[in-house]
Amino acid sequence: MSAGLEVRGLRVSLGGAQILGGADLDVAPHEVVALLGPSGAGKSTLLRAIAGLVVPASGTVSWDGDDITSVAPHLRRIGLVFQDAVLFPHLDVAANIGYGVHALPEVERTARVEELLALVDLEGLGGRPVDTLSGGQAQRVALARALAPRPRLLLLDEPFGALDRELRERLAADVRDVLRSSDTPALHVTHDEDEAQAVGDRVLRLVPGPDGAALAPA
Amino acid sequence: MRTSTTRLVTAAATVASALVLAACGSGAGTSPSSTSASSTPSAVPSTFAPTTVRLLTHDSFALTESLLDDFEARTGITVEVVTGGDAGELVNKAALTAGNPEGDVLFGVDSTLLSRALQSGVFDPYESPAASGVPSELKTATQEAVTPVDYGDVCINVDDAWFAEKGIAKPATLDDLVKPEYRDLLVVENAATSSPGLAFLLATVATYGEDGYQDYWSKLRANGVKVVNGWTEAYEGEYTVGGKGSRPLVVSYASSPPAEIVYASDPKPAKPYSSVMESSCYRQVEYAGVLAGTEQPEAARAVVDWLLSPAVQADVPLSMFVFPAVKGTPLPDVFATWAATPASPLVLDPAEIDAKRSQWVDAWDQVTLR
Amino acid sequence: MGRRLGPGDVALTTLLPARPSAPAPGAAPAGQARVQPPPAWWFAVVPAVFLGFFFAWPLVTVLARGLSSAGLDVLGSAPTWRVVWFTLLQAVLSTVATLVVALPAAYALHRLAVPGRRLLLALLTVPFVLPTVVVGTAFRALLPEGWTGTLGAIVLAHVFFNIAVVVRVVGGLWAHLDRRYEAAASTLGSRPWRVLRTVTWPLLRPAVLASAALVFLFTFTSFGVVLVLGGPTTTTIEVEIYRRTVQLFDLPGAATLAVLQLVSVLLVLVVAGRLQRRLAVRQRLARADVAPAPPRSAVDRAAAAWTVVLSVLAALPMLALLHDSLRVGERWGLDWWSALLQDGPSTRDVPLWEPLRTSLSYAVVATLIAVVVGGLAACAIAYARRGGPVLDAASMLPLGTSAVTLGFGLLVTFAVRPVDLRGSWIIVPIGQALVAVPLVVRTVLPVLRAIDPRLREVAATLGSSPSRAWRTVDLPVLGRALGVSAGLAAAVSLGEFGATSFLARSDAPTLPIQIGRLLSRPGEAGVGMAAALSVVLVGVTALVVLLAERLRRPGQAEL
Repeated sequence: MSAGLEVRGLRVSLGGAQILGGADLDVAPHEVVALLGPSGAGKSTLLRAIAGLVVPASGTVSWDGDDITSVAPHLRRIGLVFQDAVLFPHLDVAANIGYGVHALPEVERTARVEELLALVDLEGLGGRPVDTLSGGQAQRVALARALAPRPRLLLLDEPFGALDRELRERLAADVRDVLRSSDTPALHVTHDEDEAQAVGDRVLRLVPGPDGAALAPA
Repeated sequence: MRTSTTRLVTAAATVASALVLAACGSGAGTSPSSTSASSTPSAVPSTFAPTTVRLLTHDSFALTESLLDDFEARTGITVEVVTGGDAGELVNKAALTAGNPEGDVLFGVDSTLLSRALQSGVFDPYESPAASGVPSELKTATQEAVTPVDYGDVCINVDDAWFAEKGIAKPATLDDLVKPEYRDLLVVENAATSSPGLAFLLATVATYGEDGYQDYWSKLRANGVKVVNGWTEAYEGEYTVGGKGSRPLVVSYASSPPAEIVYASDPKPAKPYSSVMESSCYRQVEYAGVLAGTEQPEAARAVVDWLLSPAVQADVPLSMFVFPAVKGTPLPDVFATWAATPASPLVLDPAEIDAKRSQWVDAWDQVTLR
Repeated sequence: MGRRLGPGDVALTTLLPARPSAPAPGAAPAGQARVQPPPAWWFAVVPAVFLGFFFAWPLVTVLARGLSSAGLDVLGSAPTWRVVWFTLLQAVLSTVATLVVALPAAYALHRLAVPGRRLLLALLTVPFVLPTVVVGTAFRALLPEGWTGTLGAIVLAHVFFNIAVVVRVVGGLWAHLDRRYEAAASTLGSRPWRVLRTVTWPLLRPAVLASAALVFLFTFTSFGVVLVLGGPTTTTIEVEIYRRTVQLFDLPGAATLAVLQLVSVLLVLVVAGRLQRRLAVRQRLARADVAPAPPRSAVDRAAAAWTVVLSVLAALPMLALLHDSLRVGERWGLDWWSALLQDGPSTRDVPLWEPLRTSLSYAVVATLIAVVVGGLAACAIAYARRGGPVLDAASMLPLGTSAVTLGFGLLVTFAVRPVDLRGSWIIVPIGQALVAVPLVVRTVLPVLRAIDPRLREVAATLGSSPSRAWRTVDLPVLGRALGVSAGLAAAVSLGEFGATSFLARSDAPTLPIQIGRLLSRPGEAGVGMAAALSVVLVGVTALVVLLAERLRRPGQAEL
């Protein structure tokens, strides 16, 4: 039994192909783990399995020692940021960020949204329609949205993959700061070695194999 | 004599309805109608606890609105007019729902459709006593199951000015229409989709017999007859009166000339633009009857009687451009002056029409259109 | 006919049955996505009950009554096959002609900076929602002599009606085609014609096919246009069913033809659906708001000019009506308009507001029914794990069903307790709603299918239960699509004439019925007042549709 995330022997098949062939992984509280791997190695699948968006064939996902493998995703308190922001197109920036804290009283919700806007350096943009944002801004909103409900773990799936290098480096630093200041443990997936080193306290590598990918220390 | 009887009846009815209204104040709203009236409907129109009779009819139905109000005030019967489609659709719907009708009274079945309706058991046989005032030639096919309400003739209309201008004599007979001087002048409606179109086909069957009508139509075709789908297309689209079309002869109604005046914009013309070729007139009679399966046959009969009442009969010409069935009903001036009243209109037996309609229409289709 | 084609990797969804792009819902087996829209059957219950009750049951009842060996004689007769042949011929010609005429306009209006683009688009769209009786009247006034009743007149009217279908369906995709594909082909040395043939056409093909199938369906089952503009020898199956039912009392023959038509339509739907699934290309769609380029090449200028000409032609019938409503004898005047407002002593004299009120209240009820039933049906189809394409095709069936047959079915079926609708007004909006449901489904379905399934996953990781995820992700998108489809449904209801005109009405006539009555009066007053009333009907319809269009999110694709 250990604190934080504990993944053991996770196997996932999609459409008949084994994508993950028994992944073992730990993320301790306060820790940011970077996960490296070539395109198509199964990084996204691993994140989706941890978030509960796909059902594993076998293996367990636990948090603080409790098995959450069969817990529905909306009850896991695990946030996910996609490669492209996937913002709700019909909501403005503030409503996107406030989506996960809708149960809070309005005053508190507004305060939380303002706090997060400040955290991701987007003060004053709360009323903007999301289709007017630049790629970097949209990704910051996605990050703020994922952090708003105070997830116990944040999963980042190549969050800057679609951005240019300069912006990526700046954002990687920002994200690291944000995760630190909000004290959120995270699993940050990337295919960029430098980015992995920049964000991660620890770097792991997903290695493709004949029976699906497995994890190894970088 | 009829007038005085009616006046008497009206007075009696007024008193009776007052009594009924008084009675209603004290109790049940659904008190049955007086049974004495039902046994002798000829003498007194029944008075009723307020009730609604559904009158099924075609889209062309029209009456002066105050007549319905008067009837309601007098008898307690509200007439709810239910329309939907033309006469063919009306009768077909009634045949499909025979015994379990959509309403209580049906008005608008004409002589080309009557047989079909009678055979399908649409009507609960009832002939209004007022039908005694209807000439017998309008009642030949009713089997005393329905009552004639009005009649009208489908006739070829002639653009007088056009013929005067061209110096051509107006055609007088169906035979004339196949002559070379009347080439490309006639427009008729499709006998398969239009009521006047069918009537004109029947006129040719009545004139030339079953053996001769096909031959006549092939000659008409050779002489350039034009067939369009409906009356509106023929009259508004192809006929020269009104200026849009190019054909001065059209199959329309004996009442189209007075209608030209009634519907003209001011200042009204002194006389109609069209005249009627009387030898081409085919007579259509419209009947009303009580629908089999009605839950209020008494009130339904009262409505049929009302359709034969002098007030409604007098209203029929300018409301629907047909002649009232009851003989002696005064006609409005414009109607009396300009509507054609052919002495011996063409007719066919409804039973024969029903038996052979498809066959005639199909043959006509082959000869005229293919 | 709404399509939301946002940026990103969106499955190409079109107006015809297609493979659902969303993963199948339900309890997730291993490896399957777990976050799903709610089960399809939740949504299927109401449409299934309504369509089963008011569509399938009456249809089966009346067909069972009519179908007999006697009816098969119809199939043996030469005139029947002439009608079938003509139906097919005019539908094919109308479809081809519509594509030829409308594709350049689809291009110009969605890829070029044509001045007055919105106005031109509106002018070309209005005919689609116009009542057939109005268009028939206007066309008769405009066509050169001798044209009424010809194949040419029918095809022309069908083109007029259906330009909007092609312009909007194809244009909707064209606007979003990523121009870099074409640019890439050009930089590889392809001349414009080759780019069109090898890049643009294959990418556009599914939308072209979808619009062609729709136009074919509309024209194959055309009733009003053919009844008003067709002649005795130019008859479609639908009109022949009407003729056999109403004029010849040949129920067996009519039933046989109704089945023939239904089977043909089903066949077309299945073939088109298959073809489309084979042609469908998953492609990255661009945002629509990329600035359109000003027309530069001769081809571009020709397309732009053609669009302007087409819009003017599309406006002509309406102008003709306006003209007729103001022309009194040899002078101009408002006589017919003021006559419309007067209430005379006869039941025949119906002042303007009475049919207006009747039409509007029918429209409200019919729209409500159509939107609820069609919206739920679209959800059921979009979320179905299997059988989606079948449900999809089934939802189109009311469009291919003879309205006359269905009308009589409603009448015969609902004449006994507990559902006794004899003489009830409600049967009219129900009939209209049945015609509108397929249009609502077609409008809503692509929008639902275009929802990025990851939005639901994001919602889940943010703590939303599946039901909240549906309410906050699917429902807002659905709401706007339903708004647009409500406009279409209302237009169908307002303009409906031939289809359910014989369903009993116990109150004042609707606007199209009153127009028909006015037209059957001899003399210029009838024509003039009918023209004036038609102008009112066109105005009301256009207003309703425009109001519904405003509900669409800015930037969302048309139709």
